[in-house]
Amino acid sequence: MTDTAKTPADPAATLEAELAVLLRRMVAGDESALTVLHARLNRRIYAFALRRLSDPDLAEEVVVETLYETWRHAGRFEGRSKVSTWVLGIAHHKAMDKLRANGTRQYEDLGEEAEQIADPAPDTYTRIAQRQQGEQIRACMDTLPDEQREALLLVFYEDMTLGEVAVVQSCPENTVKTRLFHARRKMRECLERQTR
Amino acid sequence: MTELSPDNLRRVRDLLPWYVNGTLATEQHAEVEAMLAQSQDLRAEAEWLAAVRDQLKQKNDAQADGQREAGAEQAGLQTLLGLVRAEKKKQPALMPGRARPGFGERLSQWLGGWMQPVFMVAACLVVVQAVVIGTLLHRAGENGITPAGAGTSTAAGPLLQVVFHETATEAALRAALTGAGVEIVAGPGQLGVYTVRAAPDRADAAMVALRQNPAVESVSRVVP
Repeated sequence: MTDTAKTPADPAATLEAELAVLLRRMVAGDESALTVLHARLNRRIYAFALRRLSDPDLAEEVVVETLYETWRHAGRFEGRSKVSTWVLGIAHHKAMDKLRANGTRQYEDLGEEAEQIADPAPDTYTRIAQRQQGEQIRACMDTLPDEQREALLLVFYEDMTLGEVAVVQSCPENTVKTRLFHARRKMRECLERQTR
Repeated sequence: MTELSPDNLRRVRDLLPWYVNGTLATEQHAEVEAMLAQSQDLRAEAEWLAAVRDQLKQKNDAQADGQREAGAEQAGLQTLLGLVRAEKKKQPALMPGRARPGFGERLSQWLGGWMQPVFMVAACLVVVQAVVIGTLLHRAGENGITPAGAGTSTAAGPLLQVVFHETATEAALRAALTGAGVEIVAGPGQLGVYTVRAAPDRADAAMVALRQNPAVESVSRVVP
């Protein structure tokens, strides 16, 4: 629904084509393909995991575990998403496992009564946008439940489509929209307080 | 032009994050633009989201680069390759990415992953006992008589009691018995004791051979 057509000259599309070839070589047991895949994706997976876990050591573990899982199950990739989206989906599960293991996972409540939430006062967005700073955004992000924070990051940092976020988070697209709705509202309220 | 109804506003508002990151399909992009042209609030929200996105990207790039230790990338790769090679040694026949391993492999993975060592030992013992019992029954079936050494050279020889280590496999057990030239006449009992019979002139040699076998825990002669 929201996927943008990519031309062959697009660097992102070229990378995805290369990743698909690497995956096929991995299915045949080619370790050098795994080494190249690691070179292409390890920083992205690390950044992805670090944003969720805020722990460099755990983020490194997620990189290794994700790519090991990718190696073992390369044959299961069905081509219904980008390779990078599929790999980040694995990283998502690994990171969530670690949050659960640490007992630090923040669960969301999507049953919140969205319809009863009042619209912000006029000029609220303009005022916040002018005053908000990186540290305030970071602090407010940290207050979000994990799935909502992740959805926001996948859209704003990874620049993923709605469909891609749904693949990574293993949920329907409407759930992603709902997560984003609540995440934006909480961010706005938090930043309103921070920028007063 | 899309009507500025509450439903339309909500639908378009839901799409704003993807409008901001530039991944909306052409039609939806145009629809959002049309609504933005009609609503000052919507425009303000889109601009705020764009500002959040810009600051998030700056923050996260700096954070990820700054917190990674030098050499961590290479160390991670080495760990990864070590895991892959260890798996290859463990399961040489299981190629990565194979669509669906066979039942035996899946059972093996399940056993390896979930069973505690004590259950593995217990399972081995059950297998050993089943094989031994099966062997005895098979002999009985073949000869039509009880398996108490009938028709063998040990028929009139002395009896020995043998206890094997818990971890001894069926193959090790079989090798120990045949190597010592003895035959099972009873057991294993509840305590895992096998009663075996040696050839009349080979009892001492059989005891020495059994005692030297690493699969054997103890050997004793049965006093008549």
